[in-house]
Amino acid sequence: MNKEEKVKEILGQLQTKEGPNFEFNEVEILSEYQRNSGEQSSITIKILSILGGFFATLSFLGFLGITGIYSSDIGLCLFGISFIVLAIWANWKYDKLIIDTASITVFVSGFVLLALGLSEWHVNENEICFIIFGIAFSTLFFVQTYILSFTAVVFMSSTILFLISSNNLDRIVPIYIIVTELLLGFFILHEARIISINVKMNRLYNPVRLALIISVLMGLIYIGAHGILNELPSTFWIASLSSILMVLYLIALLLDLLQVKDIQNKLLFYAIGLLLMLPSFFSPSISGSLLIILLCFMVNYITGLTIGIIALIYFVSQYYYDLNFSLLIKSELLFASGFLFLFIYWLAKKNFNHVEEL
Amino acid sequence: MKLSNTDIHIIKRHSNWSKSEVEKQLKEEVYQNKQDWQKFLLVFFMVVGLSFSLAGIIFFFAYNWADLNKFIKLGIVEGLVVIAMGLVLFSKQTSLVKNIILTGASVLVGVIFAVFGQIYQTGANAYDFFLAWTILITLWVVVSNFAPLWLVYLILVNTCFYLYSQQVSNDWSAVDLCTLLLLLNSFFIVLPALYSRFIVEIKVQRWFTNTVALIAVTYSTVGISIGIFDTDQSSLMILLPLAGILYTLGILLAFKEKRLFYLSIISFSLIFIISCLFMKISKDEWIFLFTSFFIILSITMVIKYLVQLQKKWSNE
Repeated sequence: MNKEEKVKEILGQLQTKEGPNFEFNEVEILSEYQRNSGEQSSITIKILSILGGFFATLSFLGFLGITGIYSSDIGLCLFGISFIVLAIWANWKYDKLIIDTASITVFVSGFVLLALGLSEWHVNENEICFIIFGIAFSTLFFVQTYILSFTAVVFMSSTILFLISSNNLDRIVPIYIIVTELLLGFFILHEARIISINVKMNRLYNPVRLALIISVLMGLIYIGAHGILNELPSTFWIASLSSILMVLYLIALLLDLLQVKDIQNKLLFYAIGLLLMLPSFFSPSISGSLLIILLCFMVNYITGLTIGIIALIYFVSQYYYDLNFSLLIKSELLFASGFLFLFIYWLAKKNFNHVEEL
Repeated sequence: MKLSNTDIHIIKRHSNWSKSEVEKQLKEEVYQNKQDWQKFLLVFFMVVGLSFSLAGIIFFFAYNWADLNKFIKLGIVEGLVVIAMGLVLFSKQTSLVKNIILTGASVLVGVIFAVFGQIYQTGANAYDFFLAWTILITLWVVVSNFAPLWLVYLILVNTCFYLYSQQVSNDWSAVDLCTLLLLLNSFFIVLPALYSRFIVEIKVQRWFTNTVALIAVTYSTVGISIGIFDTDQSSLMILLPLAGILYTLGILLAFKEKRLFYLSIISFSLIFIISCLFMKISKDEWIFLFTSFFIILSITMVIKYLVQLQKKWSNE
């Protein structure tokens, strides 16, 4: 059975189940499905357009840099705005994958030109950030195509991080992390509710979900990766605490799914969760990537899961590498936790009854 | 065939489907169920447990405890390898568990050489240790045919050649090194394909061959781009024809096995190389503008073609 037949079958089932109240536009559904069938799936094609857009933008900005066009402030601003408008218009008019590369190039160049123009005009950095944030945010109301909405949301979170960094407000990065994590959690756990709000939210769902994962990750990298901050801001624990609480909340949902009823086993699960995360309390990036992994696995979102796993491996390695103990103590710590995990594995294997052959 | 979340989004867009029913459908069709979670948790705990223990072992020997006798040092690691092999050969675990243990044992072999190098002061990054490590685990890799272990192996082989070029043959240029690594990584795609074609059909996991292809194409792209801007272009004379042959093979394979990924990376590589060529030919500022348009147009055409191809393939 191909997907089209499956969609028809589901529609039939829905009609019998929901009765005469269920109305749908089969022609629209099938035509949108046809239009999207080749386009929706491949993340490869999306990455190809983003990479193409990136290099085309670089080359275009190189051209501007050499010709020295940016001596005229008003000219730059006008160019920038018309580029952004052009990208939005094109995406509104043609919802097609093939214009992605061109639109991302024009869109990103537009923002860069506008920012350059404004700074030539002596507008201060913070105001430029607010203007960019505002324009990126309003883009979402006009167009909901994948690449443009994704880029717009990533722009929004980048400007916030830029504001934080340029104003020396590193201590509020944890707040940024909490907010993006909460948004991501809400988005993933309430998919049905969000796609039911209206058609625009429905279309925005997938690009915004990926952009939120990237936004959380940017916060985790900002606070946790080498060479960005000299030391953790004193408020880092807020981020750790919130990630840990969210993971515990996910464990509660999971217990429900796994049909764990008795209180003893429930406590065991929570204890294991805490045990996993407490040692990394001083590295909020570890619990943050664990949160991404669990959320994405829950809804079977492979791209997000892969991003989470790579982030977790990176942050854990860095954490132990940086740890201020002798190698012998590190070795004991790692060995002890390794055994603990294997013990948990053994426990879990004994307790999960119907696991078919692994 | 299961629905994806996008399929459900599309139906919802054009109907008055109730929120609770959408939720139910998502849970049934898209989200992970109880069994999936149990599997995930088991694999997660085992992999994390084994990696932490292994890292513990590696840190322990990196500490280079002077009081510890060298025989005991080597004995501990070798003992661990023996225990691991015992588990693989004689325990009643499933093959996934055994393969993961075997991957751990393969890493331990490397620890043996590191300890050896430490005791006899030969340096831990000498290429011959990596070579010996690679050769010694070859049999395990082939027998287990476990994709993550193959990946470890691939990284080892690449490291070997890199270290060799740094430590032994100092006259290799960057382009030469890229040529060699391109050739080497391509073997990991071409050999299984040939084996499947002429001897016995073997199943190689897609993510593995995709990773290898990405590495190989990266080497050729970087190598050729460096070569274009180099003053001495003699090394390009080998790399260019080689890349030409391999890209052709890759395209043929892509059509045979319906792999959009190969076509995407090969075309991106070509577009990148041609852009470099433009920049080499002219130093004029307009060439940047031209290149920008060239990239947009060519990528757009490639995507248009790939989308059509994907539609065709999914209808077959």
